[in-house]
Amino acid sequence: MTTCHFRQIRYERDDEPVFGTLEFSLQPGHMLVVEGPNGSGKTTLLRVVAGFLDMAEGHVEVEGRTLPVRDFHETLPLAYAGHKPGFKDDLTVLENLRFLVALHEGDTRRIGAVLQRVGLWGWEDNLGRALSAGQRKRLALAAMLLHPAKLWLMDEPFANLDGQGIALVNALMREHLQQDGMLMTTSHGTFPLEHAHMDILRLDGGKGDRA
Amino acid sequence: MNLLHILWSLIQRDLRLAWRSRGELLNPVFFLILVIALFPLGVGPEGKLLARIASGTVWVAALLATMLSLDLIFRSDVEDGSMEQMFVSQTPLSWIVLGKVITHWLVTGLPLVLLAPLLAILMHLPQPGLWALIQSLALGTPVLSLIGSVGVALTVGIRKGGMLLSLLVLPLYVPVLIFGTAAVENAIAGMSPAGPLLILAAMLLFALTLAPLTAAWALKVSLS
Repeated sequence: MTTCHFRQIRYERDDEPVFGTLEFSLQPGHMLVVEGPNGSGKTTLLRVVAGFLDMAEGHVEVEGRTLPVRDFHETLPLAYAGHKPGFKDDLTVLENLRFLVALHEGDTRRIGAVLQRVGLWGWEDNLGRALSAGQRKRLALAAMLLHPAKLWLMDEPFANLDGQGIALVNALMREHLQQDGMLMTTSHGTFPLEHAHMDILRLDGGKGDRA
Repeated sequence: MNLLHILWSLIQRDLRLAWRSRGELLNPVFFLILVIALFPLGVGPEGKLLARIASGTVWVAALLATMLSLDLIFRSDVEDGSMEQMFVSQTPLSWIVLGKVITHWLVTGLPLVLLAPLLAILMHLPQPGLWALIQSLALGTPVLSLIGSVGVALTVGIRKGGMLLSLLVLPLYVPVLIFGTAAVENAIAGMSPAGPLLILAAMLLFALTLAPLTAAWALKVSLS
């Protein structure tokens, strides 16, 4: 996996630019933190990279190829953890994970270990709706860990988490980066993780610069 | 083979979800039974008149019942972000649409087919028409689910898309209705229902190949 360079990324909603022309790169073993106030388009940028927004303009250079940003998500397995839970309230923790593992072609045998890791061991037969906000976040993390994903896109990964949860997310991120994974995340404040390979992209309403 | 495994997991998941919210699920079926049960009360219990309108009534009711349930195909997955997860997976979206349509048919179309004998009795459908009714529903209701999936995919991003959905989907349902009732009418009149049934089968094949692709594309558009 090599570095992905994003060039001239733009997105307009109803003819209003959400963010201007952005240039950034995702490198193996590096994390990219998108910073900016509310409404500056952090989530939108993450969704552009995930390929949800078909109208996004710009292109990506990967391994000597140049392709439109909307096709980028097809080049590598990626995991997305957004504001929405991404699992069903009417299924148990285990049923949810079983389906997501099948969907992403992960390894079912790792479910037990991953549940232990995120602190949901013992909750596997509880329905999604019975989980607290923090536990829901942990379930989403478990789903990400069961992916064979190279790139993690995490939107506000620390929201709703207690001290332990924050430490857990930090540890997971660090492990992912150590395995040469790529990570892109958003933050509207100070980022509770210091990492040697941390790049920051600041968005301030329409104009973005590489810091 | 892996794609088949994903399809099976998706169908299993959706069937389990359907079972857990079976109250909501049975609404269209109840609607159908109620309409058919009320019809003889409305137009009078005269066997001849009922027999004359039986095939059309059953088909119209089946069509409306399917429309009522169309929203179930994608809405909850879009709302809770499951669709985002399906998006970022390496599985083709059209494949996922196909799985969801199959489940939709299993929980809404199949009960209609199984209920057909009961409905036929309620409507005094002449005996020779029953088998044709079952066959036409078995071939026609999957087409309704498939066409419906395209309509739902287009309107799922709109908060109050119900009316728009009916406007989009109903005109496309009309051919199914026409050939579905024609098959039953033919059988009642003592002719072979094969012609209209084969046309329904052709529609099914056509919808089966094109609807998942179209719906996947429409989903992409309505989510962005």
